[in-house]
Amino acid sequence: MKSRLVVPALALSLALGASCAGPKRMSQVRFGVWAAEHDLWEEAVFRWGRALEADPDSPAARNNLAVAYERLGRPEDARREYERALKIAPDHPQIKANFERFKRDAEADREKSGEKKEPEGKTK
Amino acid sequence: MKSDSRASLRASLRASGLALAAAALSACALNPAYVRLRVEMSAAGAVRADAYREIVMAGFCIAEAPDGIDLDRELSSFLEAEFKTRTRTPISLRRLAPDDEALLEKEEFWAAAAEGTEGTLFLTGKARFSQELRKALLERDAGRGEDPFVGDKEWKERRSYTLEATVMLIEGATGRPVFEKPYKETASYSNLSQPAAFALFDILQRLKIKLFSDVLGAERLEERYLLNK
Repeated sequence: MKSRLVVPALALSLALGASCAGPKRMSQVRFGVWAAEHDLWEEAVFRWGRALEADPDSPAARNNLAVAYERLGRPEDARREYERALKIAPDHPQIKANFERFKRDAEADREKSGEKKEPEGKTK
Repeated sequence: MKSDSRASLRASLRASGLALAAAALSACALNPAYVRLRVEMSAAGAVRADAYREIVMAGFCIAEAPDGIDLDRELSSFLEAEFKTRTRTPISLRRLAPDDEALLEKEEFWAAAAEGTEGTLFLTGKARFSQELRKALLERDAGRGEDPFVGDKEWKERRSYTLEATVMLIEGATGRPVFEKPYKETASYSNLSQPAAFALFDILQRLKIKLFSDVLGAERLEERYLLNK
């Protein structure tokens, strides 16, 4: 009975081991996501940059890189990457959602910096 | 005996096949196409303080302040301390703001004050700190055992303090404001003898949150999708 369970148990542990393997076993894109989830954004940028070296048309890497640039306070780079990602995958719902939110925030920031030119309650 | 072991081998192979399928399914579940992440994004401020060589606290033009409160000194030293904790740009205290409000708008005045040095940012503006006694007819709380439907009314007084401050950041190179915004904060106290200095401290705590969010920017929590494939 015991010997009967050895083979399935071994197979199960091998398969689970493969699926739950750490970042070493992941693709560069997935590794970048793992890094971002652990707030290691510079590492994530490096990984997604590597992914783009291998496949410049990866919408996932471009989208993720855009998010990282937003996080790192580089809005111009973020916009460029979102636009490239949407050029490759124009109907991707998640990329479109990200870009919409990015544009909304950029608009809010633009209005805020507009205070410099036209202070509230005052015309120059 | 042989058929027994074959049957057992077959059963174990079937079980391992099932285990593999289950593991593959769980692996797929562990690697979804995207993850939704809450990310702290930095919202841009009106000014990049690190782009300046020096920030000069140039004082405020004071329209009104209660007795015993040096509003200009209080505001300047408070903002100086707060800027020091938020930026690496050197901060200095140099009272330049004149009593004449009109000079705040004079570009040549600020350009001259910078003495031709590049990278000076002046923090100045105008402020008013006023107090008033407010009266209101309020229903008295029914005491224990008293009829809750018979509400007595009584006059209650509260002391209110209001700070109105227009904060300006003026670039020394041009003499022009790069930021200008009015703020108004009020604090009311049932304790009529609440000191003005205490109220000012309360109000400044609220003002600094708004001011620094406007001037230097703030982090905001945003949701974004990261794609796995």
